[in-house]
Amino acid sequence: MNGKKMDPVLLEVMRCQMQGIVEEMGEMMTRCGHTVFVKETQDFVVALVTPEGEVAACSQRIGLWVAIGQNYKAVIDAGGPYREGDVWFTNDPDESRGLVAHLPDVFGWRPIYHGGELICFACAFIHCTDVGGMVPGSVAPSAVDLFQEGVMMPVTKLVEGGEIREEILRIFLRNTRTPERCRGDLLALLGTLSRAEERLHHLAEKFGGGSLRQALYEVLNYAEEQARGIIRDIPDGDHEFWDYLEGDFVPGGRPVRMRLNIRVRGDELTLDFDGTDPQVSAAFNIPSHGDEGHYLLVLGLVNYMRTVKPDLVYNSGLVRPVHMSIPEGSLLNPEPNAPCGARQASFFRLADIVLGALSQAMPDRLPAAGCGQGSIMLVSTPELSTGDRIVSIVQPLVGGSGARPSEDGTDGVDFTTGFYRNIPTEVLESETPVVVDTCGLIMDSAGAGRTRGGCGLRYSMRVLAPGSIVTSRALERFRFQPWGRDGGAPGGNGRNFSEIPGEGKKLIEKINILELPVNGAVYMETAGGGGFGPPWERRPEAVLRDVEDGFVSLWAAESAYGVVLKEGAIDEAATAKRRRELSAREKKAGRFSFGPAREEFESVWTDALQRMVNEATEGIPASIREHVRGELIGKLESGEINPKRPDPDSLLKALRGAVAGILESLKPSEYSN
Amino acid sequence: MSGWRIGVDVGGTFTDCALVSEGDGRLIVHKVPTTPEDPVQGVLLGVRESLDDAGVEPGEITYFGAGTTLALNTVIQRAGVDTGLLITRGYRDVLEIRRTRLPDAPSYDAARPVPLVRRARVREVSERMMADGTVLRPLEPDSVIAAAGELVEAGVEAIAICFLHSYSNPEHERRAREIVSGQWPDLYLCTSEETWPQQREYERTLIAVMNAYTGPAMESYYLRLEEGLRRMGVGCPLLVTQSNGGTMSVLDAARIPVRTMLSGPASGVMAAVKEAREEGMERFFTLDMGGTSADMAVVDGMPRFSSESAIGEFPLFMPTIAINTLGAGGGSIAWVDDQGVLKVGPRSAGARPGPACYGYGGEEATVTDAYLVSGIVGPGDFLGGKMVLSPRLAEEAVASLGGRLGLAAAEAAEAIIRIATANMYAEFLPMIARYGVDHRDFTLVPYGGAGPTHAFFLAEEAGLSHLLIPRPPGAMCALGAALTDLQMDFVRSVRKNLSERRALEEVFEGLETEAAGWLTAQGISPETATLERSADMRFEGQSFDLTVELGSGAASDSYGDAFRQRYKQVYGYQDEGCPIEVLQLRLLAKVRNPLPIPGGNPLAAAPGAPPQAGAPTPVEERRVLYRGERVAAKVYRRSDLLPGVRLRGPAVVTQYDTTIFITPRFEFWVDARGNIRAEAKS
Repeated sequence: MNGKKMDPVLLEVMRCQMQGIVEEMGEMMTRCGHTVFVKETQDFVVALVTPEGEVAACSQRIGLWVAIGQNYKAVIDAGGPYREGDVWFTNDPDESRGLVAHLPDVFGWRPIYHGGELICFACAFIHCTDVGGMVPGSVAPSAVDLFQEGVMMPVTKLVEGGEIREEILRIFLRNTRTPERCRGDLLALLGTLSRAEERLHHLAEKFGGGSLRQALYEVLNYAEEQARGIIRDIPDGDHEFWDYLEGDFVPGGRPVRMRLNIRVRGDELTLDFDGTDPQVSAAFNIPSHGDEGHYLLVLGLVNYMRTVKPDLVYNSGLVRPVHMSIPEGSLLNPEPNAPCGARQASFFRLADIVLGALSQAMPDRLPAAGCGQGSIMLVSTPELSTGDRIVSIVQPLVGGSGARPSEDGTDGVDFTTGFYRNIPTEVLESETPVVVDTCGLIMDSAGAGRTRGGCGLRYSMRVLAPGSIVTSRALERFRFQPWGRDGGAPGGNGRNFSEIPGEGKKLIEKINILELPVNGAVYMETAGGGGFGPPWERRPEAVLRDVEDGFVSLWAAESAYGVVLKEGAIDEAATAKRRRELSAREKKAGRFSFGPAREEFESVWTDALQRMVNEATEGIPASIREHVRGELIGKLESGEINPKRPDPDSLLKALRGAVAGILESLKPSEYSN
Repeated sequence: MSGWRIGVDVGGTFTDCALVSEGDGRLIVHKVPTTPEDPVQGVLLGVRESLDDAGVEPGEITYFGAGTTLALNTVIQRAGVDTGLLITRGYRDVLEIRRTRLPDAPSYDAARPVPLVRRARVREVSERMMADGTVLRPLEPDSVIAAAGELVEAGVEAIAICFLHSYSNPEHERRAREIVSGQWPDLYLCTSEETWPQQREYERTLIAVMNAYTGPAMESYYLRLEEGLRRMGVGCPLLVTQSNGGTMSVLDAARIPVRTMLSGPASGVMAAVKEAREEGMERFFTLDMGGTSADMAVVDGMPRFSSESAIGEFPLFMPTIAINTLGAGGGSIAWVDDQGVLKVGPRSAGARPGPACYGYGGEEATVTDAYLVSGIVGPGDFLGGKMVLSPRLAEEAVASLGGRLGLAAAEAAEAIIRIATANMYAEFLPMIARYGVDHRDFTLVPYGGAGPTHAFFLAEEAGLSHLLIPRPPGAMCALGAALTDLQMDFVRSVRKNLSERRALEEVFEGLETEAAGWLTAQGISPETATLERSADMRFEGQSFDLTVELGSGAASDSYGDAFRQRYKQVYGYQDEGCPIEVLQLRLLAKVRNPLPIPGGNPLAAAPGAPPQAGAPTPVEERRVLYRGERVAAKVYRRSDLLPGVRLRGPAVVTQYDTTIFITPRFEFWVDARGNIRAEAKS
């Protein structure tokens, strides 16, 4: 590589063409894919990657928006020697050093040569519907380690000189519940990579292999410069924020906190996750391996970049100015073999946390929190005529987005999870013995505000075949509401109901595995987004329209927005009076409104106390720490240790003493008389 | 006696008329301003003036084809009537929820989708079908009356009715329609089954809604146009162009105007098909490049159809001629980003202020300004010199952009053209992947104001060696309306394994009966029509299907072979052991429009002038920038180029509505019908 920069016009010409190639790869993947994840929800990524493992180009139109920051270095190094026509693959989170972040994601990479010289890798991953493990679909929130989550293929050569190594494929497919579908998906992936090779050869012939390779590096530099420009516009400073997973399937069932400090300095920034809770023996860990710029940790930041610069050059150059500090043994950097199947609950929440932190630096630019959930509802049911068990995706369950400073949120869809496509009822019902009775928006679920949040979604489904099982991984926001901003109210929570014939409808907990009898139904409700600004400042006409459209009830119009309606029209005088009352009653609003559940929780569990509990248990191996920490929290809850000591040093000392005692109690003690 | 055919295209700015002689193929193109408050007036004026130009009496018109973008514009501009929707209980929010995916997420500024029918105008009805067409809950007539009554009370002028699984059993939709029309006979009504009976509730509902939303205005437009023509003395029936490239009767158009939604571009492609076919050309790409965008269609024997088009933000899954947007048009603005990289589009200067060289106050450099600075287009080329372009303003705009890049104006102009071409090529690649064609033996057929100007650059980039520039590049949609065939699509969602041959055959026969009924209603004997079968198929488990043409023969093994072959062609592999599933069966009924287009140069001053063998006289010579150098290009008037002429690039050919730039690598000639043909020479 010589130091001379490319002619910018030629570079832009080549960039356009590389983008054309990845868009074509994405198009082909979705058309050739066999499982709903690939073909409908587009849970895959296609990319061109430098020999050093950086993503230089990836599809922007199709597939997931998580390619930025995917680091292929570890898998490229672990594979090889490479020859033309080979494809390697893996779904091993640990050997891939966090490139694979849960087992259903199967990554493949194919070296591309020109004139004997390695130019780049064509890469893709797909989410396979099932890779074995304890539940259909392989993702159970309650899994306690990686081995319960399915088969793991270490970095392995799958195609050699253009020929599939069937003996390898057989091992993989024997371990899935849906071998034909997975095979179809893998063939689609391999076909997509060969198509990319064909196109890249063409490009290399036209411009020269050296130029093509140089262009890959230069587009990365180009994106990096854009990212630096964006970061420079964020005021320097430390911006802290935290939020929680609700932790229903975590031992102890307590909220799990992710804590972030974004330190902005000039054109670089650091995501410091100090204070984040330890890893859990439930499937919510993100095996980042501490990778700088890890793709699942930068999601909110990349969303921000795309917001302020929609025509951004979209590749991993964007995260070059991003540094990270992630505590080892934490939820976001667990030890090897930690379960991670449902880690999307964590990374969607993380995107909200980045949003919250950045909102303090750029308060007028960013929205309130949205539903913050992208739960995938699956049904496993016998097909009525053949009895064959089908595992089918029912619906990605998302909810309303947060309100923007000057525009309402989006109903039934959130920004971070806005890539999901839903499954038409007519398609689902013709493939699966179920009836979808309702798919609609929920009145009054949106956080009220000068601009309101988006409404949550209600989805109800009845099963027709015996032995039907419903799972819905990564449900969140059942307890802590999506937060509002600058006086806007938080969004409504999610809920589930079941309806068993003869028993009626009842509220149930988050779903892990739900068995339903014939004609049993489940109702899933997702959260609405938070509001922005005081609701009594919303234009009364907008409130009237929401009432006419059934998004807001008459009651909420009056009690939350202070708009009094009489016979379908605004009662001006009564409205003015009601609004004066509301604004007088309200104490000065802070930047965020979290809602009563979180406020109550944090009235005991202050930031300082939560940090101290983690600090006191630091250094203990993960497998033991969870127990010790649980015991310690028990002591605080029972009052055995008083959490409200005025002197922090003495509290920490007391906690450390208690930890030592708990550890001591684990040692075998001699029987004494 | 040979008569005259007329094709009309009502666009946003101009109404074009193309008058074609059935005798000697003469073509007369006429443009009048569109009259938005009542488009019928513009059409009648245009027709009147074209007839006067040609000295033709209204009674001599034997064929009248009309196309319009009115329905399209109504949806895009949200200018339709207050519309209501009746829907199955539990599905009130089908338009609000859409398919959830946000087009511009994950941006926090993602636009809030706004449905065509507001939530207050959607009413649920008690009824429910199952996927196999059995009734889960019978229709409650009272709930229909109550729901429609509330909507009428609220002031709706049109109602769409869409119930779940009506593609499988339309009984409830039909009954509901009868009930409503019995009570409110003046309301514009349509059901999703009659607009487009395909599975997927959101997309099907949307089609019915767009139909109702545009219906009352379109119905009135067509009926008044028919009336106006009759008064003028035009005796032939009025036919209306459809998005599928065919025409239909005016009554069908009034009932299902949603079928006309993308008829403009489709009609242009059909004109190209007719012209190129006459030259024995079977495989080509059309390039329609105007002010704001460049659009391409693929013709491989037949034009490729798509069932995944879009109307603005709304998906349209009816069969349309597949039009792919390639990117920049002549008005697209060039700009430099913060990192000093030159970009072209997607912003366009539009008609006002337009490119800097128009002199309407535009200061930003556009692709058209780059043409002018590089010498491709001359200041007096536009509209036959009626609109004079300013080289100084173009130069200033391009130079100021170049200043930011460290480039002189000329270099910057070339760079703009190069980037615009690269953008097009980047879209071209995935497009040819979608169709699985080997583009090297395809001809490029450019039209629109900027198509012939830019086409040779794209041809060089994409390795296309043949081009055909049709006679009226600026009026292809109107020409298409005069020349296309009467045709209608029929569809049935089936979802069966390909091995269930008998069942498939029965469905096809059902469609054929339906088609025969439709033909008879048009006053056409079914025997004169061709019926072409096709099916949407996929490997079991996939979600996207390929439409495979099946000819007219009965269901057989060849269906599977045809699919596997097509799949391999598109994706480079196929899955031998995997079973094949059939999703939709389609039937296209078509009555060939039997017009032969004889030779002669219709643009020549005197029709039937003898072919010209000698070299025509260039009107001037221009120094045109090409690959970093100024090359001397002779400039010809198109009307001076008679059949038989053979020349070599670099050359510029000017005509009323476009400028053609032939790069040095190409030889070109005029064929017997007046088209310019070109071929790359090494």
